[in-house]
Amino acid sequence: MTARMSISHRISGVLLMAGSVVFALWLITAAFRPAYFDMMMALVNTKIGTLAMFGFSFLLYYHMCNGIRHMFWDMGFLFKLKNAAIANWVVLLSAAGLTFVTWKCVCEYM
Amino acid sequence: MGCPKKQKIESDLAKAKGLGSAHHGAEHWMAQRVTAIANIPLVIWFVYSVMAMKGASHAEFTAYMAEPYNAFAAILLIISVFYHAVLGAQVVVEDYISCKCFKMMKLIGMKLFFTALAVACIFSILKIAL
Ligand code: HEM
Repeated sequence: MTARMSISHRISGVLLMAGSVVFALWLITAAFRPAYFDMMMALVNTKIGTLAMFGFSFLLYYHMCNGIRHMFWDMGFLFKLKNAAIANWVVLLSAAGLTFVTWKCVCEYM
Repeated sequence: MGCPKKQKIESDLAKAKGLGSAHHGAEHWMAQRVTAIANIPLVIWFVYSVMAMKGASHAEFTAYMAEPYNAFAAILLIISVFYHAVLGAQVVVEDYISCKCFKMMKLIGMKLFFTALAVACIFSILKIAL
């Protein structure tokens, strides 16, 4: 479990990089190619676009929470197997919770 | 990765060269943490902004980005996240690609690409905001 969490941190980091290229294009098209900007906004509004945004948000939260755990490790905490196992669940559940709250807000208020 | 390996005995220095983080391990590591901490508030701002911009028109988006606070946060986000991501990806490349010349090509290409992308982003923000 802890090993799987570790490789997922790496995978999530690399996927976030791919996602950040898309967000960069979003910004660049907004400045220089408004027609493509509108196209990107329309794409996000499709089912696949929404799913991609959902996935990105979870990966981002997961990477953030696990990154914070990484820094606890660097400071020498949470090394005991039992604590590491608890931290796995804290990270996963916080990421899931943050994703849930975000999308609940998106659905209700945005 | 099918790259011809030199068969002669290398000095330790020659071995260490080209092994990436072997040169500046500590600085690299530190920069990764500093940007990781900076990323936390910036990413929260980013998520909020993307939520606020759901279904926004081009005019609404540019009006939002032109707000000084938002332009400021966006530029910080670009610098911190891209720097963090390139540092991170560097470690990934170093870990998985064993051929030296191929590794160097990847690292240099990646850094050039993300630097260019970051500059393009900052330029875009300034164009919208100013
Ligand atoms: C939200 C705040 C973030 C925090 C707290 C964070 C934290 C961290 C930490 C502590 C590491 C080092 C892990 C290690 O030493 O093994 C790391 C690695 C990495 N991060 Fe982040 N990060 C964040 C956001 C991002 C974003 C937005 C991206 C991509 C655009 C990203 C991409 C990466 C990559 C590619 C790695 C390297 C993975 C590896 O070496 O296995 N991170 N992150």
